[in-house]
Order: sequence, then C-alpha cells, then structure tokens
Amino acid sequence: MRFLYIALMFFLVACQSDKVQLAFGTVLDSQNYILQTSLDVWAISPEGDSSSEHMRTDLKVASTLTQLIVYDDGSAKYELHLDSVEYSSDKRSVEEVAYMEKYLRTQTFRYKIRSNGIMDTIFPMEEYLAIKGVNDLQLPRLFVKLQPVLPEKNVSIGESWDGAFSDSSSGEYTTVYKTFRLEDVFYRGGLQLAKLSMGVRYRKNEEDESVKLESKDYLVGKGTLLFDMTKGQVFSVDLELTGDLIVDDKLNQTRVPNLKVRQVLKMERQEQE
Amino acid sequence: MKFGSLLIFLFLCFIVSVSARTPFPMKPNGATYFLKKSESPYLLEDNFVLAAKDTLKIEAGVVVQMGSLAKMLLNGTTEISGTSVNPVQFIPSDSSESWNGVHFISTTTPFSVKYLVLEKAFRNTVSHADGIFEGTQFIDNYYGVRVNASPKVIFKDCLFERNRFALSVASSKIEVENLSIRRNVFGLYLEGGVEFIGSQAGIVENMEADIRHGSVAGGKERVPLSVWQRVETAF
Repeated sequence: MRFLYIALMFFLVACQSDKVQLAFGTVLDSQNYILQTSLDVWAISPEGDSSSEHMRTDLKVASTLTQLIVYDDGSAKYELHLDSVEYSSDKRSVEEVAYMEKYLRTQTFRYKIRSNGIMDTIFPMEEYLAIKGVNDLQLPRLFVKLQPVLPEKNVSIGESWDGAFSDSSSGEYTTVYKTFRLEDVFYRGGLQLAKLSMGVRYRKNEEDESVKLESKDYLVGKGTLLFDMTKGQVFSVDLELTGDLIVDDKLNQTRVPNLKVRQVLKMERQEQE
Repeated sequence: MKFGSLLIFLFLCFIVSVSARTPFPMKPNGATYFLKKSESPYLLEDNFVLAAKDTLKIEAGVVVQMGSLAKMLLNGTTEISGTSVNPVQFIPSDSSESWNGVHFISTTTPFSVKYLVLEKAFRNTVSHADGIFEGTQFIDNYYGVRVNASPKVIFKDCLFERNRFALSVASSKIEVENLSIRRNVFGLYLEGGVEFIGSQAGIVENMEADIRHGSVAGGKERVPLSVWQRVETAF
C-alpha cells in the first residue's frame, strides 16, 4: 500500500514536470521583427471562368518592438516602430505605392498586452486618425492576427486552449477567436522553444458610406507559432487565412457577390548581434 | 577689411533669413491657433491635429512650409482668411518634395477657406464636413481634393491646375461657381451619389479626361479600384 502511494506521488510529480509555463517576459527589452504579408483576392465571375479579376498586394516591414513598462499584474505596454517598408500592389499607381510606403514608415503604435497575450488597447501615436473614405493600410490589424493568447495555467504537449479578443483597429469591433495546441517543446540555438499550432476565425462586417463588406461565413486561418520560452517572446509565426466576401459598392450601386480572399502572414524575430 | 566685414554681415543676414521660420504651434486641446503674417513663414514637419474643440485662424499672407511628412487633420473650427492680393500658402519646405496634405474631417462648424494656395500635396480630402473654398488654388497635387460623404461643399472662384486627379467627389453635394479645372491629367471625377450644382464649363483642357463618372470609367473591369483598395485595407 505504501509502495502504491509512493508510486502514485511519483507519477503525479512526473506528470506535473511535463507541463510547461508559457508567459511573456517581464524584462524590459527591444526586439526586431520582420513581417511579411501577401494578399490575393479573386472576384469570381458568375461563370467561374478565367474572366475572374484578381488583386495581389505584398508588404514587408522591419519593425522594432520595445517593451516600455511591465505592470504588477504581468501586463505590459509596448511600442511598435517601423524601420523599413516595402510595399507593392497591382491595384495602386506608382505614386500611391510610394505614398503608402512613406505613410507607413511614419507610423508608430503603442499597445497594452495582458499577461496572457490579449491585446487590450492600441494607442496610435501622434493622434493618428484613420481618414474615413481614404484607403490606407491598417497595420495593427496584421499584428492582432499574429498575436498569441497564452494559457493561464501550465500545459503539457497535446493540450489545447483558446482565447478571444476584440480588434478595434478600424474603429469597429470584431471578435477574433483563436485556438492553440502545444505541439512540441525543444531547444534550438540555446533557446527553449514551444511549438504551437494556431487557429484563427472571425467574421468580417464593415460598412461606410462607400462600401458594405461582409464575410459569407467565418474567415478561417491556420498557422504555426514558435514561442521563445527563454525570453518570453514570439520567435516566429506564420498564418494562412482564407474566406469569401460579399461587397456592396454603394457608390455604383452594384454588388460583388463572390470575392475569394487568401492572406499569408509571416513574422520572425531577428536575432541581435 | 571693410569689404570682408560687409561679406560677413551679408552672410549673417542670409543665415538669419534662412533660419527664420516659426515652428508650427502645438497646444493642448481646446486651444485657439492664430497664425499671423508677422510670424510667417511657419514650418510644419509632422502631423498637426486640430481637435474638435480647437479653432484655427490664419490671416492673409501667411505661408506654411510643409515637411515631407506634414499632414493637417482639421476637426475643429477652421478659418483661413487669405485675400486675392495676400493669399495664404501651404507649400512644401523643399520644392523638390511633396507633403501629405490637408484633411477636413467631420469639422464641428463649416470650414471657411478663402484664397489659399495648396501646392504639391499628395492628397487633400474633405470627409463628413461642409464648408466653402473661395478663391482657392489647388496646384500640382497628386489628388487636388477628394470630397467624400459631405453634406455641402462650395467651390467659388477656385482653380485646379497641374494635379493628377484634380477634383473627385463621392456621396456628397457640391456647389460650384466660376470653377476652373484646367491642365490637369484628370479633371472632375464623379464617383457616385453626387449632387453637382453649377456650371461645368470651366472643366477643359485636361490631358486624359475632363469629366469622368462612376468607377474607373471605360475599362472592362467589374470591380472598381476603390473597392479593391477598400478590401485590401480590411485585411
């Protein structure tokens, strides 16, 4: 009986030791990230033939993310500054592309992240305002999609958790649902990394004076995230997002009933010398 | 020696004259900004936001030089009071560079812009606002001005010249009087939902088109550029 008790205790301790804690670092630090995205959108013709129209845009930004302050509850305030921008779009003129690059380079954002990774508030610097009716890119949206939600308790390999948070970067609230699963924990280059599979889903429903834009169903994304457990930072993340949209062009009083969207996002931390 | 002293004196005068630019004032919310000719030229290098409770008044003859990243977002009461002899000028600080532009957004009271020269901006916009442009010249901008979702904007004795897209209007009512849109690449673009009151006789001699209607007109595309770009920004 005593042997069984000891064996049970040993088993419980062994189980506990398989669990890992995923938490953001609390040491003030700056990290450099490269973010790359590509967006393909197809307007499928009613016949579904080769007359479908297509848009392709690519964006690559080098950014510096600085942890400004860590609060007692584990939340922290960050500042995101863009160091360089490369942008291209087949639906914008050369001058507009140049403007967009210049405009993005001037953007700096501050935001607060809770200890589990949920982004609370985005504070655009310099009282930046999205200009209604002007189609400028919204960078915070990209980072919201890639930001992980970390489990509130220790987890073992194979365990899943989920989280949801609001994206209000466009001025309208969208709830983004995310699911995660711890796939592996391993060492690389002196760092302990946790490999997470990530699922994202949300509905798109936006409207202004010119356009009403809604998703037919959930936009769905799948990806992989490497979390640096040593420093408590995102090491890399990739995500592919797909879905169908219906767009009402209110200015021309027409409907685009079938837009297929595919967005690929990759972000990787750059190791400092 | 006398000649050398004179040279030094002239050099110092030159330095003083070059550097004599007043930084654009920045104040807490609820402030009144009054830009005077005696303190002109002003230099705006970055963003200026006129909050809803703020007031901006600019007297005749004031020159505001814009750095390449300069942008004016005007939410509050705006009165620009140039005259035909002493216009107010918003011009780039470096003539080889453009600047961002002026944006009238949801202004709390109708804006009043008289005899303003707006030169070499990337884009000027009026959105959810009403007001009057009188004697205003939109010169060598990429987008002269785009009016969107605005209840009533008046263009009186205005000139658009050497812009790529001179005047674009969407979901708005505009009234024009003695409007001249000449020698631009594209003249007037009526995107949809527009009530246009006044004569279009002064919209002539534009290189590609004087007046366009609807989506990027003439193409076989079913989806307008504005819709593609809107979808892009949603992601």
